[in-house]
Amino acid sequence: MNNEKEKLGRREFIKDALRTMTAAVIGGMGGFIGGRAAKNTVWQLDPNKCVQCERCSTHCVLTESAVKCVHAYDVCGYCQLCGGYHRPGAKIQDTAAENQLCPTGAIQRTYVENPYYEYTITEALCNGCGKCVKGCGAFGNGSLYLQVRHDRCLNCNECAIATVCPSGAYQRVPSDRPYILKGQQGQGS
Amino acid sequence: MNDLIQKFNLHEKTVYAVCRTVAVVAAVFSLIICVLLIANYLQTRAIDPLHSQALETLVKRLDQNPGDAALREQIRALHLLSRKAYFVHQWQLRSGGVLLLIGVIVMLAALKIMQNLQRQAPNPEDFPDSNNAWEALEQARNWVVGLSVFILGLAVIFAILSYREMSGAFAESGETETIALNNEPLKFWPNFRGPGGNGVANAEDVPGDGIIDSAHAIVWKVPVPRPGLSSPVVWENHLFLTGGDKHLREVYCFDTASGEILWQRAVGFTADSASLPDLETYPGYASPSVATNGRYVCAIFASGELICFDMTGNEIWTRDLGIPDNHYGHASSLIMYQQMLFVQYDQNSNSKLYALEAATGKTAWEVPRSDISWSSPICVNTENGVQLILANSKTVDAYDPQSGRRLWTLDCMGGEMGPSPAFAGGMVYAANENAAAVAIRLNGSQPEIAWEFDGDLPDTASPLATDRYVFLATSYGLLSCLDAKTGEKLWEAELDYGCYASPVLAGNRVYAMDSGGVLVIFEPGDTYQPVAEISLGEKSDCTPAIVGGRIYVRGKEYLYCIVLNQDGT
Amino acid sequence: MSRAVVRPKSWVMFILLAICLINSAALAQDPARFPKPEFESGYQQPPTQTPPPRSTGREWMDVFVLAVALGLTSYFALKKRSRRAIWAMAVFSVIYFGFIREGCVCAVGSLQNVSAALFLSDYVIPLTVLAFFVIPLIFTLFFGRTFCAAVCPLGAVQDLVMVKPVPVAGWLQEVLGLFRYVYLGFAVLFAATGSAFLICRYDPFVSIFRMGNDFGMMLYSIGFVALSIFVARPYCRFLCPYGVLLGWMSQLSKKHLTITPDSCHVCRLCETSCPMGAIDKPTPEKLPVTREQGIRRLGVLLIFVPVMIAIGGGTFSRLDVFLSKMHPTVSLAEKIDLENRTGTAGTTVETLTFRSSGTPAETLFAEAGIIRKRFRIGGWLLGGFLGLILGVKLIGLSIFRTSTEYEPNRAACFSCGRCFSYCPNEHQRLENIRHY
Repeated sequence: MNNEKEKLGRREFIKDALRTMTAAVIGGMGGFIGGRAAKNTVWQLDPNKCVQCERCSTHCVLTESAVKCVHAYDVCGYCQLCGGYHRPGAKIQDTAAENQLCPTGAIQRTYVENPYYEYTITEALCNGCGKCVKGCGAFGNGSLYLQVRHDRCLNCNECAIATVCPSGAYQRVPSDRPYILKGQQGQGS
Repeated sequence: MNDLIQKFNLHEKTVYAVCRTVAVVAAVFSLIICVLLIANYLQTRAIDPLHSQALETLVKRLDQNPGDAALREQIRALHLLSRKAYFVHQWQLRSGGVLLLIGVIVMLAALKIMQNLQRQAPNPEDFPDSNNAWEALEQARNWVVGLSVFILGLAVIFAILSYREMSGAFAESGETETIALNNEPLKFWPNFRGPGGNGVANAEDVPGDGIIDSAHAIVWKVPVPRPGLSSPVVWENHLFLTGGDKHLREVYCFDTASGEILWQRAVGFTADSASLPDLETYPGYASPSVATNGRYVCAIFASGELICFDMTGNEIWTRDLGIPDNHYGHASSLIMYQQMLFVQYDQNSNSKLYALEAATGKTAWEVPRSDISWSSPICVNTENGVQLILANSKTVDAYDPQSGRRLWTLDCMGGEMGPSPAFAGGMVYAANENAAAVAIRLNGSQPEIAWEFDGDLPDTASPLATDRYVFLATSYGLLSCLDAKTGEKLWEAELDYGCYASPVLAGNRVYAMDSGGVLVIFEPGDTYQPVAEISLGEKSDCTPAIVGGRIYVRGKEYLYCIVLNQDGT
Repeated sequence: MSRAVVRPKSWVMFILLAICLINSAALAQDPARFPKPEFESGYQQPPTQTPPPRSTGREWMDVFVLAVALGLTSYFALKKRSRRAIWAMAVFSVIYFGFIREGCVCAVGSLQNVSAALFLSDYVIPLTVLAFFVIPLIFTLFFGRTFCAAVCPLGAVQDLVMVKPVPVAGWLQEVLGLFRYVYLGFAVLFAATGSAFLICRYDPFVSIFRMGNDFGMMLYSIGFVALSIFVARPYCRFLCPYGVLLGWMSQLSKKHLTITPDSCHVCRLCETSCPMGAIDKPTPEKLPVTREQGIRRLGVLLIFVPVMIAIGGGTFSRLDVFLSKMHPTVSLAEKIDLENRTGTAGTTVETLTFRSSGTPAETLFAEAGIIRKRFRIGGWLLGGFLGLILGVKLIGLSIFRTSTEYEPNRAACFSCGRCFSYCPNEHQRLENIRHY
């Protein structure tokens, strides 16, 4: 009986020692990684690398993608014929459906003054396909570009779009600077 | 089970019945939602509303009739409809998901309550026998061993499969240059007779289709310091030539824009300089053309000196292959594929095919060969992978460029083999004076002779092959065109001088240099359709290089750059 | 459209922008195409909206909630011994960590972030993610796997939908349980080489919390939930890689949930109470084999373990070509290589994009070669690890532990407390409490 108790006591001692060691290992590893740890990060796509493959609109885990088109008014030329708004070959530059490029009609075109027009994205309608981005990049200033909208993004540990992005445009950015903006806003930071 | 329910009191019975009904209703509800969601998914996948084919067709039609108001209205209606369909689909997915979740939760809760009602105190007598713990362990052990073997087997299979699938190209070295084979659209003419050595220019490099006189066609001409028969080789703005004699051999790099010499390097490291043969007459010391892969440029001379430079003219390595036992002088040009340089070193005895690492000059592999030749290797993409195809005075042989394994050989040549083989449409063509023109059909590893032609045959000019035609140019100026499928002669034309240079194809035109220095341009077809003739004003026996819409030719003393359009393109 | 006058300010901006975009040839020429107009009508340019992401404060609050939930669950499991309270915690975790927080980062997934942080020099891990990894491990080291009981949303979901669990034979449970180690090994390998986060990609429950994912993953999730109704916690028992670590911690834990509140009378009532098969039964007195036989077997196995490690390592290191396909760079390099060899170009969006980027294929191939070498080493480690695990498992299955009580198996027990109510001593305890 005594022998057995001794055995138990020895076992407990070994266990205590192992536990302390394990805790030390976890702590040490935590400290090692923690020393290099940074602030929280979020996913963002670099518009300069984006090639508008349309995968942003289909590969997000959300039914309605967290990626939307944003407009850098600073860079916009306020053109009457907008490569991002009008489909190629449109004969008349008006707001008629048959002349629009956007498949969901998410771009609003409003008259400012002759011959300038303002283009605004209706985010609720935008599906992030990037057709307008391609058009604006090809014929205009590139003021339309895609961004991950952080009011929608779930910040998945592995972004489903990032895994299929053909140009490696997706990256983790610090959460206090969560956008890669064009125009003066982008310069300010 | 039913006995148990019989024992329920009234309250329990009611709860049980209600839960059962709820569970059934929730299950049916969830199932319906599930089916609807799947149907919705399949439907939108079949007809993606945002990529509507119908809409595109209508818009195209509107472009043709911009005035059609009805069509316009139709497009607008369809556009609205497709947008609606898209957003309704998204809404359906979201709300369907929520409904399904609620249905499943209700069903599970009801089932759980039913389950709890049926819970009975355990009766150890019903328990399975617990004394077989040791057998259970043994069984588990066996299964673990089985699993280990299974995992290992799986790993071995995948390892073997993936290693076989990989050609070993980039994984082995991590540093690989890729070189274009025939028809790859990039701006270069990396060796004798262009990409792959096959005599066909890249599609992007086709010269303009203008017809101008010789005086206007020549953009620049510059003298080449030492004589030689090596043909121009071009990589972007670098053009390489060699020249030399018994005393000194040289490599030249010209600027393709101006013809200015960017660098020239002397070569004279052979140990046997005293015993070099007299090749002053023909063909000389600098017959083989250089080969480049955009990073290195390698040159060989009839002295057996092999040298490699980088693109700026820094010497990388040299190798002395020894003076070849060759009564005319070594004439086979070099060719590169990926990171390897291939040297066809055929001579009267001790013939070899070397594959050297371009970066170091070390031998990757070498295989012995049987007979002498002055022909050059071609490296082409066949349906069985890339093959290095060589001809000598007896046979046509193909090798695997990676390993040096001989893939096939056919005894079908004869005489003193000067022309190189050609490849098009799954057929290899070889021809030589005093032998025949032969078409070899590559049936996998069992190539067979498709036809033979023994009319007028070339002495040094390589055959030029397309999918439909094979062109032969003889040393006495007879240009003939054979049907590639049958070997039947379609036409022949007499040139003013003989042809020692190989004709090349760019776009829809063949460029053949005759030894009188006239570049004869014609269109391939069932009849001879000459287009233009550009005269250099001096003799030439070198094959033109066609890059970036320009034609580079070496004459006896000068190097020429030729354009065909008035505007200089 | 042609106007010569351009405000100097916008020129400055364009130059800045051009400098900013200097690396992107595609856009560098664009800004000056149509300069921004000078408006005469007093038009005010609207600002570009930038909704902020979830604040760091909220991330830290999640860490806090995690710690509190772990504390409460440990208290309910070890001290209060209340299955009902543990169930309530599970409901809370599913709602909070699952449906409200919508999954990421969870402790299970954080395993990959930690692997990446350990092996990739350019990967930085946020402190909150590290906390999510470390806190459950530490708690388990002291109180057993109470994290699995009701804090992990994945475990909690399975626990809640478990309606009619069927018992799984002992040997089958042992064999299926080994897949956790395989999954762990691959997850760490792919995370540490920067290839993929396997655990996140094939997480069966996150698409339910988010109510969305691609169609195949949705079906996979629904399938897993349906399976969980009949098989108790299939993910936890047979796949969860984090569970491997928790199991190791739990074996060393200071305290652990017990079936009986005082001492076991071996009444056998709890024997089938655990749907997870995590109760160790008392063993018969007599040894099934002689001592000599047992020692000989053990000796053979002990020699065999290093052999298994070597065989595993050697074989898996040869999977470098196969496994490295998972890395985007290698897969791109393979595509480019294939195109080069077949004389085609731009057969996929990826290769088209790469070719238009102007990066030489050589650079890509060199990079891919380096990654493959890393997979060679990783393959050694992975194969060695699997060999070790299987060897140790075999040894574990050869040692016949004597025990006289019904006890939870410390490595396998999720501390859910289902067994409490089966113990007559527990009923006595509750009775006593009621009387006082």
